[in-house]
Order: sequence, then C-alpha cells, then structure tokens
Amino acid sequence: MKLLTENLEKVFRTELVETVALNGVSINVNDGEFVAIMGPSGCGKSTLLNILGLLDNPTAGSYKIDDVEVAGLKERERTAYRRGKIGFVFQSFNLIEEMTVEENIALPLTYLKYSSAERKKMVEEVMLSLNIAHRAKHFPNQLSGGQQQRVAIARAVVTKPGLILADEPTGNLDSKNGSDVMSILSELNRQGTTIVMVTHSKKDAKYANRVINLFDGLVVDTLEEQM
Amino acid sequence: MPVVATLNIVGLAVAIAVAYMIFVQVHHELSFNKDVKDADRSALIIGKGDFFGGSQYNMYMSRAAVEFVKNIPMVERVGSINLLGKRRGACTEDNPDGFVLNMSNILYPTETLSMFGFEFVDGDSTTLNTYGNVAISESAAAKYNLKIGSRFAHTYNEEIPDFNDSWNYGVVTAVYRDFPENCDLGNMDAVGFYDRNDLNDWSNWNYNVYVQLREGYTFAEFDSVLTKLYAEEMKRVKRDDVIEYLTVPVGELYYNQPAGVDYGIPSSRGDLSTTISLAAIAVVLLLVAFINYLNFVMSLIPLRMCSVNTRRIMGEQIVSLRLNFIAESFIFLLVAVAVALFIIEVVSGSAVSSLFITSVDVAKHGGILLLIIAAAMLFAFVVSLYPAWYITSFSPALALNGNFGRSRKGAMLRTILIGAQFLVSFVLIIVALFVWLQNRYLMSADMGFKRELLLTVELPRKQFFIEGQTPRDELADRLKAGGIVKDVAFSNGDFVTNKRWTVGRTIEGPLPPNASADIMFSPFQVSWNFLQVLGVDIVEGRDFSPEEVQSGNGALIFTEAAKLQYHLSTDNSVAPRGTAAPIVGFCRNVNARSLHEKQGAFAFYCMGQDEHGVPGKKYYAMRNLYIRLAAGVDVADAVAHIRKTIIEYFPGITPAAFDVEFFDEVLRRQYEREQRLGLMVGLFAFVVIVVSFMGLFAIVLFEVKFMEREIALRRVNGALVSDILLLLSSRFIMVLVVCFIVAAPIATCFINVWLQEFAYKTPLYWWVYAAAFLAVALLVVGIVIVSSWRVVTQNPVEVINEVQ
Repeated sequence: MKLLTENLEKVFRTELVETVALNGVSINVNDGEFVAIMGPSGCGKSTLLNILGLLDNPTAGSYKIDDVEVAGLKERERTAYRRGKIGFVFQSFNLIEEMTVEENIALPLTYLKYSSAERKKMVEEVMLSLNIAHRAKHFPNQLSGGQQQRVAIARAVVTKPGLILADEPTGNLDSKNGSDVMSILSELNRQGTTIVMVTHSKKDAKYANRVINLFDGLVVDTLEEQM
Repeated sequence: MPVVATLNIVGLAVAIAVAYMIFVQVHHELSFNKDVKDADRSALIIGKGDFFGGSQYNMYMSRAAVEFVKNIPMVERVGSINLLGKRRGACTEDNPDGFVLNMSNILYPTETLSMFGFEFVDGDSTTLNTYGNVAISESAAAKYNLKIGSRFAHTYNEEIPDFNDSWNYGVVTAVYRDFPENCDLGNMDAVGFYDRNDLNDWSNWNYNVYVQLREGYTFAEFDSVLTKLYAEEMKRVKRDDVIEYLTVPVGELYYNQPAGVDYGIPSSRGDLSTTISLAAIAVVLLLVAFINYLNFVMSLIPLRMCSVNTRRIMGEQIVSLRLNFIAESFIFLLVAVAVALFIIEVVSGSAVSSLFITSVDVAKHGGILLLIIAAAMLFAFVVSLYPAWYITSFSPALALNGNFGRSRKGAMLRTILIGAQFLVSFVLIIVALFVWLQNRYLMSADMGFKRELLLTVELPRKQFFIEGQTPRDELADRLKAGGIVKDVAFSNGDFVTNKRWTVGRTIEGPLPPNASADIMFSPFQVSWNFLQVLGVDIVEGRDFSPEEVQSGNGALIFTEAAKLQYHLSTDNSVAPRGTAAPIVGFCRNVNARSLHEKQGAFAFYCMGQDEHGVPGKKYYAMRNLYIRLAAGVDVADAVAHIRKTIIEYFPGITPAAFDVEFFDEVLRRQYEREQRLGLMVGLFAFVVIVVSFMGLFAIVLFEVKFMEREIALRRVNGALVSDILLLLSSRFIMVLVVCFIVAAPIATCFINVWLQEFAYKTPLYWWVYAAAFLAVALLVVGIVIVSSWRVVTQNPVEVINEVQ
C-alpha cells in the first residue's frame, strides 16, 4: 500500500488554546516499505499515525492512499475504507478485556461480514503463525505482556491488510518480548505488508527501511536505516 | 453521575408517591363498610330462586316477609335501608333553586338506626317513626343550611306516593354524626321513615332487609333456618315461592355480590381482583424503582472500588465501610421521600386526583404513608446490603489493580434486574391495552340504534302526575318548535340499564310444534315513535303507529334474538301486563343492558288505553325523554333551548330538578368503574414504564461509559456507529425477547380474569402483543441510542489516547 502526504496540517482547538500538532508534513511511504517515525514526545508522531490510519482527518493538506485522495473523507467513509485494509498495533495492546483471545482476533472480521466458519479458520491460521493458539480461550488479563501484544498483532493482521500502523508496539514490553514483536513485524513486512511504526526506540527503528524524524510538527529529516 | 443520581431519586419519588396513592385507594376499598358498627354481625338477606322468570337473585322482601323474619327467634334485630340511597331533588324557602339529597327510606327506624350505629348530635331520633320526619347528616345540614325544624320540599324523583300531601316535603327532626368516607352510609345525606305496605302483603317486594343475630348464631345457620321456615310459611299462605336464602355480612357486601341481580345490590361494589391488581402494581412499582436503585449502586462499584479499597489499605474497617453504604442509601431514600411528598401534594390538588375514589391528602392517610416509607426504608436497607458486601469482598490489592467494571457476575445481575423491569413493562402494557380496548368496545359497540345527536332528560315524576292525560305530545311539540330538535320520544325508565324487570309470560297464538309457550322477557314501555326517533330498524312486520296508543292493549315489537329464541311471529301476542298485546313486528337486536350482562329477550311495548294515560295509572308515566337534535345545530344552544322549554312548560320546576345529557355521557357513567380502572392501569403502567426506563437510561449511560474503550477499539477495527448501536441494542433486545415470552402468558392470564366480568368482550387480538413488544423494543433502542450517542460518536482515537 502506497501512502503520500503533502503539507499535512493538524490543529487542535479548544476554547483557550490552539495547538498545532502537524505543520505541513509531507511524506511518502512506498508499497511494502517499513517506515519508522521518531521524535520527542508531543512532536506529532501519533497524530500523524492516526491520520495515516484514517482514524482522524487532517485540518489541511493532502493524503493519498494508492493515489486516492482520502483527506477529508467523512467518518463513515473512512471506516469503510480502512476496514480490512489497515491494521493497528498499540503500545498498550488495547485488547477487549471481556473477550477471549480468539474473540479479540476475530473482531475485525466481524465487520467484514465473514461467516463464522471463515472467521474461525482465519483466526486459527493467524494464531498458529504467531504461536498463541494454545491461549485461544484465555482472557487478556491471563496473558503476559508479550502474549497480549502478539494477540494485538494477530488482530491487526488477521484481515491480511496492506498496511500495519504500529504505535510504540514495544513500549510496554521487556527487551525479549520487544525483540520478538519486532521480529514478527519484520516478517510481516518481508511478506509484503507496508508498515509504519511510531517509536522512541532506536533499536526498534533499526528494523525499519527508513526513519522519518519529526520535530514540532515538521519532518526534520529522513534516514535510510541499515539493518 | 449527577444526572443518573437525579433520575434515580425522581424514579424512587414517583414510585413512592404513586404507591401511596394506590394504597390509599386499596385501603379504602378493602376496608369499605368494615367500620360500620357490627359490620360482621349485620347482614343483607338475599333470596336465590327463579325471580321474574329470569334472574337468579333478589335483594327485596315483601312487607309480610320482613315481619316474618323479625319473628324468627335467633334474630335480634331487623332493619331496612337502601345503603346506596336515592338522589332526590329538594328545595327550601332559602334555597328555591334546590339541591340534591342522597336519601334512603328506612323501616323500623329504632332498630335500623341502632343496627348501623347512627349517632345523633341534635334533635330526637325517636321522631323518625312519623312520616315526613327526616334525620340529616351533619355535613348535609351544614352544606344546605338545614337545622332542626327546617322544611324542604321534594322536587323530583319522589318515591313517596302522593296519597298524603305531607309526603311532598320533609321536616328535619334529627341530625346524625357523619359516617366515615369509606362506607355506603358515608355518602348518605338523610334518612326518613317509610312503610306503605300491608303487613300481610306477600306480593309487593320493596324492602332491602338486614338482619342482626343473637349471640351464638351463625349466618349459615340462619340461612338454613330461614329457607326452611319460609318454605313452610309459603305452604301455609298457599304461595308457590321457592326461595333459598343466603346472607352477606355488611362488611363483605363491597366485594361479595352475586352477579346478575335485578335492580342490583343496594351497596357500592368493588372487584377484589382489581383491588389486588392495583396493590400488585404499587408493589411492582416500588420494586422497579428499587431495582433501578440497585442497578445504580452496582454500576457505581467499579468507580468506587479504588477509593473503598484505598481506605481499607489505610486502615478503615470493613464494617464501617458497609455502614457508610447503608447510611448513604437511607439518605438517598429520604431525599426521594421528600420529593414524593411534594408530588403527592401537587397531585392531590390537581385533576388527576379525580381518578381516585377517595382523597389522597397526606393528612388523612398519614398511617399509610408511614407504612410505605417504612417499607421503602426496609427495601433501601436490603438493597444496600448486596453492594456493600460485594464492594468490600475483594482483596484490597487485587481490587486496586483489577478491572471490575464489567465483571460477568455484575453484568449478569444487572441483566436479570433489567429483565424483571422489562417483564413488568410488558405485562402492564398488554393489560392496559386490553383494558383500553374493552372500554372502547363498551363505548363503541353497535347498540342497535343511532347514538349521534341523541340527548336524554329524566323529568321529575311529579310533573307527569296529571290526572287523565300525559303532557307528552304538547311538550314534544314545544321542544320541536324552532327546528333545533328533530324529534322527541318518551320511555318509562332508562333505555340502557341493568335495572330492568324481566317477566315470565305465556305466548298466545300459533307456535311451531314442540315450541314452548313460556317466555321470559323484558318489556320496555315506550312512546309509539321511540324506535323511529332512536333509529332502531324494523326487520319484519311494522313499526308502532299512533293507533297503538288509542288501542286497548297496545302492541309489542320484539328483537330478532327474542324471535329466534321463542319462535315468535306477528301472529302471536303476549301480555306484558294484564292483557295480551299483539306482536306487530321485530327489530334489530339492541343492547338494552350493560355489556356486563347477557342481553336476554327484549321487547318494546307501546301501551294502549288499558294501561296508558288512564286516570289512576300514573305509575306508567313515561318521563324519560330521548331527544334527537337536528343536524348541524349548536349543542350548547340546543341544551339551553331544551332547559328553557321544560322550565317554561312546568311552572315551579327547579333548574336542579333535571339534567340534559348526551346519551354517550349516560353510557359512560354506566361504565364509570371500567373507565376509571382503564385510566388508572394506563397511568400506572405509564409511570412504571417511565421509572423502568429512567433506570435503563441510567444503566446504559454507565455501561457505555465502561465500554468506552471497547467501543473505540471496535471502531478502530472497522465498526460503524450503526454497528455499535446495533451491538448495544441487541444485548437488550435478547433480554426483551426472553421477557416477552414470559410476560405474554402472564398478561393473558390477568386479562382473562378481568374479562370474565363481561358477557360481551373484546377479542384477544394478536396485534396487541406485537404492539407491546414493538413499543418496548423501540423505547429500548431509542434509549440506547440517546444515552450512548455521545460515547459512540466521539473520536475513538481520543478515547484510546486517554486510556494510554
């Protein structure tokens, strides 16, 4: 999946304050690329990731996915567009506590109207590939952090999306589990999935093909990483 | 939180206020007539047998029979009074426009007054043994400015015959203390002596007789003895009356009245199943409000888990925490009680209070209010126990870290509680709809005649006591002058009434082989144009004509149902009174009784010269007017025209002596009890549903708040707003379906019991059930949408970021 932003702006307004989160960000992400976005806290990394994931609209600027302009889509259109095409991985896993592992993973498939049998098959496949099949009936609070993140990744990839957006995926993990997660993301990228990852970790950024550095809502440089 | 707490307080307050008002009514009914002196020792004598060729029970005894009962050794006293009284117009010199007194005649004044515990505050009660002397209640004396020695003239509906002029007025010779409101005598304004029959007369049955037994005897024994002795006496006097006697104590008359009684039981009547249903509604309403409260408290647990357990870690005792919870419930309840008192105050001064048959003023029923508050306190205590124990039952360390917001146990409990509310809502909606349908059926059923633009007037009997003639034709002409009134017909008594005599007679003329010549029917005396004016269609033969009035015997027109039942033809004749009248035609079936009762065979009777308008035959004076207005006239003008014409035509008649009413108003009055019940059930169902759904609203607010993160995650993973709303609603819809399956048969059971009161009833339409389900489902979906909209539509990113 190919992404292109031009002069992307995002301004948050309250009654008292106006905060510029993105101030003319122009980036491109090629199909099959693994891009890391870095920068200090508050520089706009997560805001950019949310816009890239169609969770939010920019205040101004252009955003194209596979050459289709998607900036300014209505909420309903954005939801329809990202269904099955974009997967999300969060720092705090964001699993639903009341659902079992397999139910959590099947969640995006529910909204793609897969049949129950199809869902079951797809969930089993992804659980096997991520080595969490033995935890299928467990609830999130019965899993370790690494296992929870594997489940979150499984949920992100079960629809075989073209793009995975990861927001500090190792932030809540120890180094061993962090490495495992990054290996999984790397493997997915090798299989052709485009990945955009926000991270503070230089170690994690090394898994990416390219690092985009943000500062105060602006792209300050772009570095090709060498793994 | 403040919104939800307010909703719960208002819900509790409404529940307490309405429960109080219902219990006031329930108490009024359950204790009706019970406060009358010796209510369990005094009983009405009811005869069971084949009366007037049709009815099974009779409330009246002949003068000779009363005397006979009085002489049975186990009888201590016998009294005769009509506990319902009879409304009579009266006027004094001070008040010539008149007023209405609810008055009863009494026999054996000393014994009757003593039996029912009359207490005199002025005058001399022994004077009541004299005709014309009247005892009046304190409140009536004050209201109409009557005192000892006041004379008032009867202005209409005089039951007292005119063989003695002194009967045309009453003299107040005693004043008695008012009876309590919740007994028949509480509505009585005055009593006066009356005894017109011969002591040896077994034929004229005019007296409601009450008996008080000597100590040691039971009413069952008395019934048996009276039945046996009466049968022996009948043999002795050579009469063929076969009567089985049974007695109903005064305190039980309100609920224990046999159905199908000619002229009705002389006491107010209630329906025990209705009273119990109302009480059940009150209890259910309180339960619903407390379920809301429990749900509310349970919903708060996750929010308070952290603070409660932090206190425990800091050293606070569990007992102290639990007591705090309980105290909090009581404070919550006290606020609700204060709001409830305000609601009661507002309602008791508003039009809604007319729904209740007694005042709901707190000052009069403080005991009931205190009981309800005590019950509510108990509820509050019980309801506060579970959350108090639950929230303090976890290890403090675990509770501080864990997420108990939507634990399966808590969610299950809340679902069960909400389910209980849905169930109650379904039952009440279905019952309320059927009560409404039945009332609509009662009011709109095809009665066999045209009710549009039909007015009725019951004129004072005195005005028709004109020797040798009746003033009908001339009065009709005056009413029709000017074109406002299209036509006027007359009858003897109300057309639609349960107080209708049935007679057993022999059919004369040819009948099919094997057909019985015996007939039981209700003849209704009318003017020759009655069917024409009321729009009753003739289906065979002909309508009455003016010649009928000039004929000797008059004529009859039977209904189609009577024709089929008795194989009648226009070649037959039947004697409604002394001489046989020919059957000249048959008409469409008419509903001449309330739909509580089977209609039975019915005939219009146009009297001839032998019975009608003849000097000395004044009993048959037809003083009920049925007035058909011309199309398009102004109703207020028409009523004014009718009143003016009548007042001009009968000099001296007081304006209070008669009413001009639409026929539908008369009909509505006949079904007043059903109308009131319909309104009450509808209103209470509405209140229960509002309180339930206020609770549901509060719960959804909380549930959605706890699901905020899940909702955001679902949306990130592709769910549309509509998907989330469907998800939230579907949880409740599943509960609704289960509750509906349980509620439908329960409601059907209730409504079947209630409909048993009616001989003619609305069918149990399937769409009522569908409508009830749809209404509740739509409400639930609406509440889910409204209460969750903000959370569901907010940007999921913000929610996830907040959590992170």
